[in-house]
Amino acid sequence: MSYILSHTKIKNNCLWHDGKLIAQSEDTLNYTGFLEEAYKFLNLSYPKFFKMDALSKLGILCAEPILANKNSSQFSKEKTAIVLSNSNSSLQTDIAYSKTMSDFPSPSLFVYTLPNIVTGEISIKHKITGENAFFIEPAFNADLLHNYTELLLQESDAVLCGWLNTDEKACEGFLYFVAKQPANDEKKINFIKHNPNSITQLYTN
Amino acid sequence: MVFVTGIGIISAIGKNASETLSSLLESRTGIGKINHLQTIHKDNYVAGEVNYSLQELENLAGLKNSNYNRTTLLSLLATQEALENAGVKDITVHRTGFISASSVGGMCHSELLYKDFLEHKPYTNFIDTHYTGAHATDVAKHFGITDYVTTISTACSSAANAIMLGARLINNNILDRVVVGGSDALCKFTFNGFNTLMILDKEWCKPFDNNRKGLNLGEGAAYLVLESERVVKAENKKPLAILSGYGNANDAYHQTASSPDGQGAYAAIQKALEVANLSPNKIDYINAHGTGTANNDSSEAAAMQNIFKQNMPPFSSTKAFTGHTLAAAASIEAVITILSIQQKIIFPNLNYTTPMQDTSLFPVTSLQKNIEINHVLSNSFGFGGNCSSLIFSKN
Amino acid sequence: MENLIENLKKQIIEQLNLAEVKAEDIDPSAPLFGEGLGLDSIDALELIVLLEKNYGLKIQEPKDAKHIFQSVKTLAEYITSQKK
Repeated sequence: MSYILSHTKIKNNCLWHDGKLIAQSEDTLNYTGFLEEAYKFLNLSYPKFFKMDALSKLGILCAEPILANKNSSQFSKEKTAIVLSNSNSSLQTDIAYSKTMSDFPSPSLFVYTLPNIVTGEISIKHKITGENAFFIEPAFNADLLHNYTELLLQESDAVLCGWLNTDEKACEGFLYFVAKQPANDEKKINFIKHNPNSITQLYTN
Repeated sequence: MVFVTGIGIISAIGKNASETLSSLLESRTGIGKINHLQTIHKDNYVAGEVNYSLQELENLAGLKNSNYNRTTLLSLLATQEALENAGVKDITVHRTGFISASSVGGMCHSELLYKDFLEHKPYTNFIDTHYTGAHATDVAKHFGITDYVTTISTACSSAANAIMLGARLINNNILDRVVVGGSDALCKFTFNGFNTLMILDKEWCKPFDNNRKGLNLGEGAAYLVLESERVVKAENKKPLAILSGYGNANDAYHQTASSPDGQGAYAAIQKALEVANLSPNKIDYINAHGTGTANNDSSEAAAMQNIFKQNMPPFSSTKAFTGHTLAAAASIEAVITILSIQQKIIFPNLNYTTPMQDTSLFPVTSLQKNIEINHVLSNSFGFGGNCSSLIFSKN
Repeated sequence: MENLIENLKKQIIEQLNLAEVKAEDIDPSAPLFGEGLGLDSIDALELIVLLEKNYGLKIQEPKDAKHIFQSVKTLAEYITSQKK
């Protein structure tokens, strides 16, 4: 049996962790501004954050409350996998990079013109060296993620999964941490069973 | 057990497996002048371009006005060959999936069309195929594959990850058969970007050479048909090879550079050996990632040295034949690996003259025939620290 | 030279997205790479872009740039030497 031990969500300038709102900015602030405010809310001290594109910032922020948590940090970093997905790939950064192509192409922007760089950034920050994958799907696909995660759990001990998508006007992040057994037996009842239904519920609520 | 029952490939060295093999046997590189891609870098760089225009690719596929972009057409041609090679007559007889990898997707066309499109907004061919997954959806639909279709985008290890996922789906009895691989077309965006990272060699690349200056970009597509033991027995097939091992790990070092000691590569190779239940000394040949960049080749050499120690098998990078085909690289090289096993030949690491100073490893530089090849390791390491290794074994 | 160094500091902070760094915190003689500002290989490429964009100076081989990018001071010295 596998369980979802923790989850985060970023949407509409709000950041939730395990269902609790932990950071919020004015609606009128654009989402890139919110991402920087959320960085301050979380008290992150990670200057590399400011070099990242919005997709990687989104991933780092969604991952932080989960991975800084005791429930997840007890799992071996070598046996923690990361499986992410989205529909827009790295489109926003592709556009930003293409604008620099005509005079001074920006190497630091080009670095982010691949969707899986965010898995790299999360891995670098948290020293996670397990398996990692990135799927491109037309919409959030709970079945795909559930299925792939269960396959990975045959060899990995835990998996950070989810959906990180950015477009011109908004960003959407939903990450959750799955493991084979609950970390703490007493709190077993607080852990959500890992199946496509529960994943979809967490995503849509 | 997962069997490879079909292969399909199109790249700068040939439009199918037979042409590919001829080029490999004759040490004929596909890297040269750029003819089809319209880029300001055209005369300054060489690349492994597929020597067919978009129209010619459509003709090869027997199609007309398909609205399939270059990445999709390359994918379709290679998939077609793989399915024919596997003797697949009715795709619906078994639970079949299509897992494809790409980094470029439809960028090869949208980069040419988007300015006009934004200004005039009439519908234009290819505008709606920019999405990376469009090629997978289009090709799967074309061949009637419906049970499982998805797109993987993890840079240069993408196709290896597609192959791994396919193997797992078969091993877990979720699918009986799966077509796995990747496709990437050359495009200005990629050229411009790699040029900005200063990792392109203006001349023919020199993998593992001490004076290597960078990689040559390439394009192409390749697919494997993987089938379960049950299907192979039921249809009395003679598999081309066994996919016996696979492993993936994150280097967790830098977004685009590999760690100096190749930790991610080491972990991926280690995992692949564990899955295959093989000790390092059982590997007969390594088809290396060997892009020709200062960083990759040192890092990969360090990883290989650490795993194989005194039992370093012969190795070569075939990217001096095909160029670095990005998301398709792992599947193109998987097909080359399988040809290697079938033919009992180790293909050379072209354009190599001077050993790397920081290591005592030397690649194979001439064609080696009549080699008993039982197990081959194929490496593919991508940006984002995504490191993957596959092991193919003789059936 | 002083002016150039001060300008360079601001340009470096902007070009490299060093959001949490202030110009007065950068010691002109401190190493830019490794310790000091702890810049990496991509930052080096951005410095190459900065040199071309702001000073019209083109660097062909990143390897050759190592000594130029040692510190803000060496960078300023290089720019000054090229103006002659």
